[in-house]
Amino acid sequence: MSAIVKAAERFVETEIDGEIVLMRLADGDFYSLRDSGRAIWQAIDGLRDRDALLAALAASYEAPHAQLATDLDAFLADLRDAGLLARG
Amino acid sequence: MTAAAATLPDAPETLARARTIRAARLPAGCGIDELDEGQMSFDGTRFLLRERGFSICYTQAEGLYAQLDDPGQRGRMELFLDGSVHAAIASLAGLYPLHASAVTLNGHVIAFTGPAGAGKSTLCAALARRGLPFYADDTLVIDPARAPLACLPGHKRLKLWPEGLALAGLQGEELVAPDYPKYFAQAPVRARPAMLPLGALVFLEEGSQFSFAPIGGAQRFARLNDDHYTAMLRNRAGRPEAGALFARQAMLARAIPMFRLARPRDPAQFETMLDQTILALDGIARA
Repeated sequence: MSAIVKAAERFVETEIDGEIVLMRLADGDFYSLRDSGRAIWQAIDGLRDRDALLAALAASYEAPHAQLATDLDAFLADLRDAGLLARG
Repeated sequence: MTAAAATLPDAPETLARARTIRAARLPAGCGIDELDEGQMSFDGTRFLLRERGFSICYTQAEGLYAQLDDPGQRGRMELFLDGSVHAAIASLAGLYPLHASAVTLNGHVIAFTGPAGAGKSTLCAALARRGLPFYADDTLVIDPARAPLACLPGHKRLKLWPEGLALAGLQGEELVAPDYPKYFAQAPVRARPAMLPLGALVFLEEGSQFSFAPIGGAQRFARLNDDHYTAMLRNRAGRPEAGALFARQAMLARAIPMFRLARPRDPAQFETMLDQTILALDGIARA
């Protein structure tokens, strides 16, 4: 699998009270990430692929592996739909 | 919170200078002819406003022009100069106007924001009756270049609807304008006209019962865009690029303590609501 990479040129981000706020530069839309969404976003380092992200998530959350995989895939799909990930 | 009054006078002086009307006739070609009555435009450098009986134009380079065609509209023109025009000028000067009224507590400004009719002025006038010095009505300008964030003292006279006068226990001094039946009033206790640090920004809401709670996380960021007419002026002034706008808003979201105050709008419960509000404000002042 290929590494998952943020589309860094398409957004700006900041952290407020432990939540990550993203703004998509094209239209000014905002996204707020916390809890597992924040953990996944921070784990996307441009090197890890989907399985490595899942392993990182499993190390932090005590949930069934299948459930974590479903949640991760859904979140990555949301990020792709929002244009926040580079096409790979 | 620790009290630390800011003393640098440049922001209020800059704003006062910019508010000086240079001429009573708009310069030719300023673009006012492209607006209909009741419209304003702000392209980031030039603010234009056309109303029944008067027109206003402001740029930082050329200054402020206000053309009064109908002397009967002087009162309304003054209202616009103190409101939207003042906020646009402040925005262009790098300041941060909020649609808020404010009192002070222990040397800090406590600002209340909400849409028109949310009860900002009435609440602050009533808090002044309870001894919290009145600081600003309807527009509060913040200097974001200072740490801690500093507020400029209010420039407007207090205006209240008749119901607000009754709740605040004040007498109306004069009608604001014949077709705008608010009354000018004098707050019983006023803060000294000095720049003071911003202690809290409180969002006023209606609720079935009183609640006062901190706003955290991304909500703090989002709420700054929920600031009614001044947000548009701030976001366009100087045509900032999106990243710079985001960075400034993030800085302010982190720096401003924010709270949500929900309460019933029943006049019979107003005094109880004041007691609860003062108690809550004392709590954050001690924190």
